[in-house]
Amino acid sequence: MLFELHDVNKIYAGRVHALRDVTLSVDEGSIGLLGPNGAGKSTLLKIMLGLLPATSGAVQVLGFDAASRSLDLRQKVGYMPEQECYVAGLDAVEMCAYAGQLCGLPAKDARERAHAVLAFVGLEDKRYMKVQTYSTGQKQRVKLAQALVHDPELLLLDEPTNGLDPRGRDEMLTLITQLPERRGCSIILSSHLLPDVEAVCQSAILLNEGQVVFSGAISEMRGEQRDTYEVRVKEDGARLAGILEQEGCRADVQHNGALWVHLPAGGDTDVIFRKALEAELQVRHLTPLKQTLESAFVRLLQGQGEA
Amino acid sequence: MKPRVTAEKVSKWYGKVVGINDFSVEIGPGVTGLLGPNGAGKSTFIKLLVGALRPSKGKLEVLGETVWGNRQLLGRIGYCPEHDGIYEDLTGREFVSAMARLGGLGRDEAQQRADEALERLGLTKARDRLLGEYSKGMRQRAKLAQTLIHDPELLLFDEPLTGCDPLARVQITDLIQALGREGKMVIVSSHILHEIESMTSEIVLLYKGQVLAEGNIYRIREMIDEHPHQIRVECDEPRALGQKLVTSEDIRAIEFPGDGALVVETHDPDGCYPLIPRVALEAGIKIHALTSPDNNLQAVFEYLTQERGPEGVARAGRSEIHAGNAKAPQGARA
Amino acid sequence: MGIRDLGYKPYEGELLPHRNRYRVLISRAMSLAWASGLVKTTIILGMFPAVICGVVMFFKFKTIQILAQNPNVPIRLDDPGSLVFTCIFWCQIWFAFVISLLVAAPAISEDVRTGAFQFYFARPVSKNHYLLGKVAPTALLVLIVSLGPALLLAVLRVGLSQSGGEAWRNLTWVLGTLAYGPVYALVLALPAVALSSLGRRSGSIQGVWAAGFFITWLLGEGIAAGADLPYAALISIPTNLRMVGQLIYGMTPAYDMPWYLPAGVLVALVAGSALLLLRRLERVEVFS
Repeated sequence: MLFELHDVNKIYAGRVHALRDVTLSVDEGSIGLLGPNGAGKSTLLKIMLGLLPATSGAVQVLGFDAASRSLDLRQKVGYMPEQECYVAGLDAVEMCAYAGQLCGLPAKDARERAHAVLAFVGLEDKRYMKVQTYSTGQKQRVKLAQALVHDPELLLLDEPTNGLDPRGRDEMLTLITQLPERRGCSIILSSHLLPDVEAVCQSAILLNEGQVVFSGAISEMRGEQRDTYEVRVKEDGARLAGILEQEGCRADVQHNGALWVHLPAGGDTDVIFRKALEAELQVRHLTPLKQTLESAFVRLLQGQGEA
Repeated sequence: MKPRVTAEKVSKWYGKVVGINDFSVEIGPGVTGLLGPNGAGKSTFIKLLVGALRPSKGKLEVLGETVWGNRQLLGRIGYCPEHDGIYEDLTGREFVSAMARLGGLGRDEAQQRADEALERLGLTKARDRLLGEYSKGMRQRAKLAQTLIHDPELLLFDEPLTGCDPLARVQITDLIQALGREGKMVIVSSHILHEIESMTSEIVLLYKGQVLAEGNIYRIREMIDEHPHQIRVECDEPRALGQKLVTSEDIRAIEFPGDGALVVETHDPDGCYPLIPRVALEAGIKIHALTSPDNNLQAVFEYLTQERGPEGVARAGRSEIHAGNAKAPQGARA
Repeated sequence: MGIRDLGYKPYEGELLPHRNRYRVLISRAMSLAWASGLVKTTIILGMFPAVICGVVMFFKFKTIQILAQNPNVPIRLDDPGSLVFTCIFWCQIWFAFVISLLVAAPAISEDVRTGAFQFYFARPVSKNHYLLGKVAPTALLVLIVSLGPALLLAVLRVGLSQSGGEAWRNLTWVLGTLAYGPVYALVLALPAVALSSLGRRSGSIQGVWAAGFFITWLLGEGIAAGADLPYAALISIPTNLRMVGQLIYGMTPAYDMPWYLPAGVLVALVAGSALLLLRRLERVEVFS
């Protein structure tokens, strides 16, 4: 069990109800933390780290009670913040070594780990320069390094690809996906960039207005529609749609040009290919229709809004 | 006359440092994505388009006229910059109508247009709250609202979705697409490739101060010879299918990644795409999915901006790839 | 044998207990402070007044010896031991203040500016240890610059005694210094760090601390002298520090008033700063 929350409520200053009756039971793995701005994500993270007491309810993370064993808990958790985070006057090695020492590593071990972890994130060449002189991408990498130096069991990542150009984003996501394999740590990724979450996580928690709207596997959240396929052809999709309709399928043309084809009972994809070949149309893309995480997100929130 | 942006051999230097160099491009109506690594010249280009900078050399025309010093033309351009404004003490409504008045509209008209714009961006309920209280996404939408006020013909958005939660993203993306369909010229600059992909298929890719590629993403992909086209097929019997396909001359390589799929590499997608289903149907193998894993913007970007190996031609300084134009790049295969 | 994996490895070493964490914070802050050229210069220069005072003390002592043999000469000199106080207050306060300005005033505001709270509190660092790690370095450096030279002078005074009894009496200078040093350090460290927790612009905070220190000094003593209102001197932090020092050393205080007034002001200052710090830190936002 990675963490467990039971009926957790958090009320600020007697008025703002940031978390309502949150109950979660999550196993190890890579979990996305999603939700609109103001949904309670950062409050949840603070409570899970024991930095903020819950108004009511029990919180257990990595087997520690967050309220009473907060220091022990933070020793096993690494946090990569969204915003600027560095200590003025230190270079990358010093900062990571300091980070390690603050987690209890003896000074020599901390320095060793600092070098290793900076190599892992690809900052070897610049490690002796002061962090305040780094570019955005380099600062992001240092933030990841300082979260890893004490070899945490749980990694909290807040918008890790913020401000990175496409190559930097790719590299960062590669680093992040490597970690569970190498170290067996769990990851909680909080991000608005849903494709990032899809690339890294297998499950997700969706919060809205302090309540849990969904908690479970991403594939469950997305849902697949049976017997419906997304089809793209090189040329005229509408023509294929017409042909398929005559075969008993239902084919809707979307406004990005793709077709959503619903097969008749007992039908399979052969009919689509056969008809396309006959009509001399090239099928360039055919997959079972899956919602993107984005549309699932919107759907779930709208559903909750109406509920 | 259709709205156009034309740049002809434009260069901009800051002292010794080059922002953009010998840059020629033509952008038309609809949504165009502007992308490139850091330092490629995107912000320089945008500043030239909004008249904040003057080209050191070359001709830059927007809507048929030069931008620099052209106040009238600037009224037809809407610009939504990346950084946050500092108007924390104004309400959403006050901010947008103030910007409208700055653009020369009278008080009542400004108010009315402001309200319409806010409505369009879904901010009507929040319009009387202070900007300081808005979330990042809401602030972004307020900035977008004020860009729309004077109904510009050219709209420039710099990282429009920063900090927006998925709901706001969908809203803003839909708005941008709608603006494109209305016939306006919308140029969106972003680092987040899937955002651009969700808005448009037309891109301008900058690299080291020059235009490396422009046009439709998929046409550009087809032109990248060094990286043969990949087709991934998920089916019941990948190896059996592979066996049948391997005899075809169109196929350069077949890979079995091990998850019930095979990946075919080809230099002739037009030959392969019909071939695969035909062979599968003949052999009675059912295809569950057929995709092209690298037929997307991420792959195009990567392939074009990676440094070339020792046997290849250097990327930077290469002649432009104009999609839809038969001009072939250097080192093209027959 | 074979190919080694050079990538990210788990950590299997020892872990030090949480209760000693303040040592890491203090040692890091000390090394950062020492890395600053200005701080180094201040501490080194701060040693010189002690040398000069020592020389003066020696000559004063000799002069008193000579005068003792000629009782007719109507010159009276006060005890050379008072140079200990002159040194620790009048000479060293400038150096101590500079240290306080350079090290204490930016201590927390720099962390606010660079987002370092997220760095500290996402780790097993308790807020009390964090505060200790901010106050202690300044206090220690001020002690070095104030207590150090003064103690040496006090020991010199004891050494210059002509008899065992005199030496024993002169021990008050040593004991007084040992008592005064910590007061000095706290007064110069805590309020500055407390001010530092109020904003993110170190420059402004330094300005406010300097103004608060020197302007109150000028005003307090100015009004006390000019308008003959000795109690006005209580608004000046340095004046209170001076009077408490004089009290500890058994000298006559600069202004005629009960001992508990300047002492009370300093206690209130230090306690108030501590409370402010604890309150400010409680409201720290680690994740936004």
